[in-house]
Amino acid sequence: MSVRLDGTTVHLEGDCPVEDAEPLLALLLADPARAVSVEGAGRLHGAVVQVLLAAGVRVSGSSAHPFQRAHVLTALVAGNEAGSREAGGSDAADRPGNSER
Amino acid sequence: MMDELLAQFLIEGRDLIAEAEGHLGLLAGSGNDPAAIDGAFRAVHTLKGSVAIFDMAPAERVLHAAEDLLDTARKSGAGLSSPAIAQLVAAVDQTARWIDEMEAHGALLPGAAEIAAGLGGGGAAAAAEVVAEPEAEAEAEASWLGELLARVAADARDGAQVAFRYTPDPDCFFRGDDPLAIVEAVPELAALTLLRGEGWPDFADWDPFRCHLVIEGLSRAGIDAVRGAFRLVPDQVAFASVEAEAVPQSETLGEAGAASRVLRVEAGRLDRLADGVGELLVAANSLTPLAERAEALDPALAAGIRAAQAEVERVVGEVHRSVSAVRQVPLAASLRRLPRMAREIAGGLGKAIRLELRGETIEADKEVADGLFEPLLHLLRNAIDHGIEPPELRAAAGKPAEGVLALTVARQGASLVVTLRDDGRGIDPHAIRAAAVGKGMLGPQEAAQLDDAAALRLIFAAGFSTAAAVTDVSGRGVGMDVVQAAAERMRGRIEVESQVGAGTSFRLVVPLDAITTRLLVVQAGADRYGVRLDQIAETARVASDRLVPLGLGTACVLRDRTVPVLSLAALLGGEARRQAVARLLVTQAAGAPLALEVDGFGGRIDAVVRAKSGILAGVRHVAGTTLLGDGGVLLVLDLPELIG
Repeated sequence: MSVRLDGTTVHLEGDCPVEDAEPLLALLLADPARAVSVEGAGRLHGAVVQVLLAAGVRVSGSSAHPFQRAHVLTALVAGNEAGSREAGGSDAADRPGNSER
Repeated sequence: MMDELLAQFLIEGRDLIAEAEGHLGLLAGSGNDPAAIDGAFRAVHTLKGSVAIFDMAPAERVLHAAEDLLDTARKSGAGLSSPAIAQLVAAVDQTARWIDEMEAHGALLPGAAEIAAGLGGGGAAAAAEVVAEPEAEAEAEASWLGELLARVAADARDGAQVAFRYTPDPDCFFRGDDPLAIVEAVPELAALTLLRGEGWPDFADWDPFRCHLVIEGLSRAGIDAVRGAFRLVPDQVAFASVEAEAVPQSETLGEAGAASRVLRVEAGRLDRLADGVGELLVAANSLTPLAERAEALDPALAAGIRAAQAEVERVVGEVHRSVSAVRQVPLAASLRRLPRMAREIAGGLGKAIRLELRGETIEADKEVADGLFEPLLHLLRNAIDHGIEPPELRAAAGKPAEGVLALTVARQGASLVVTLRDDGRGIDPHAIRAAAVGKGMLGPQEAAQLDDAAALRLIFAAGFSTAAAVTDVSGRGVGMDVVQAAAERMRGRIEVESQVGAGTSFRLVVPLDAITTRLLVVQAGADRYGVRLDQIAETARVASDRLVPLGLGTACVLRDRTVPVLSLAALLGGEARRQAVARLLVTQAAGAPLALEVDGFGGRIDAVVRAKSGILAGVRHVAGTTLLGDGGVLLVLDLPELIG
């Protein structure tokens, strides 16, 4: 299974196809405090990345996949920052990771 | 404010014209030169942008047509045909004329629209169509592109050519598409951003299988390669070219395609700098007598002063070279208008000519470069008007219909030599002699005694003109004497050679350096004088028995030529002295070598020669004065005047 929960961290491992978007979403909705690690992750389907962007969750680890590492994760971090700036108010409060950025 | 803009445009627009002409000139030689086509395209494109600021719509249309022609050529790699190149040259020439009109009148003269139509510039309707589309597209592009560029890091923007904005269809996941996989295939991706699209739901209501992403990015690859990555979803992507849009207008105008950093400096500042250097040189020279005086008092001190002086002179020399170098400009800058003017003059006279420029990359002092334009223009007018025969006569003589004018610039020692050669009818010495006699300039016997070379030089005499009919071009009475005066103002000279039926060649020889003059110090009698090094062909020491009487004077055989010898001391009103070893200074007089016997040679110095003034003004054979290190004044001789 490419989406694995370990303690408070959701691990994305190997290639994550479109089907992984749903379990990932479920795990993040259940506990918004969870962090996500992409250490060891391969190619992430757009639907999976979209969930991460929508959740505004903090993503740790360095994917081995060149395209993901160089572009997607960078874009994701930047996108999250932009999102939290835009959201302000209630959303920001729900994401404990934001204040550290 | 408007005046400043216009002034700037006049300078930079003309730079762009020159650039375009340069590239088109290369293409005349080889129609398929990708670098030249690209260069011409960029210059025309930038020029089109510049003229758009002013009320020059006909120019815009003409340049747009030219730009299209060049763009097609550079994309297809097919090269340009001769008619196409001729059309481009005509477009650039006309734009140059319109720039002149803007300068003279602040607006284009009536009839510009008709001229534009004739040059392929289309009618107003066509122009409006052509202009409207890109503008509409441009507006829509501008907003997302601007924001994207603002967002990405500077090094990501580096080298980026294409920007894209990809809005995947919301149902793309169901179709098995992965937008990120598509973007992964974009070649040379420089930057990527993920944006929340319109209608982005709250996380709590998130549907994982609908796509709400907007993906923007920059690529360093070309537009075709980038389009290729999105070929399956073409209607979901917008593209923009990064290069053209991102550069602010002022930068585009200024750089004109060149990679070098260039500074515009007001000429007066350079002149003041040059004056300062001249005075530094004199000040450095003044340490010499101080060292001499110290020698008697304290040799160690004297040695110290001399060492310090040597160091100062070394550094001053370097500064002088740097300042000279700053004042150096490539002659191309002064000469670049000549080909177009030559074409216009020829066109006005019903003649076909080609002007070839060679060596225009050679640099000379700005004063010299500026001073060359007028005399060269006169020479050009003269060559086209009188030298090049009308097409029928050329055909009858077996010459190609197009007259060839070759303008060559070369460096010879301390001088710049500019040669204008034509393949026209040449100058007939007999006709010149006859005309001179006819004008009462000389008597028939005098005229007969002149050799051919001397006869040709008569054309430089004031008021001389053999033109049978006064044509529009030469009607203003511009004679060759004007050219000679200009050459002398630059402390140079002009020479002419010709062969009847084959052509004529004019040589303008001027010193390269305008700040300081290299002088040779010579002794004549008890006094020292300065002689300009560029007036000296050579110096020689010969045994006095090689000086033999010839007619009323003396001569010597040097390099297999019999050269007349005059005593400099005698010319200056003193006594000629004969020494065992005669010291000769060989110069040119009336086109032939002449030797001046001097009593001694001093050193060579770089000096600032001040024009004669005050009581010296009336003295004929003195060109100017210079201050020596010991405080003395050296008279600088004007050899031609002295000998003549």
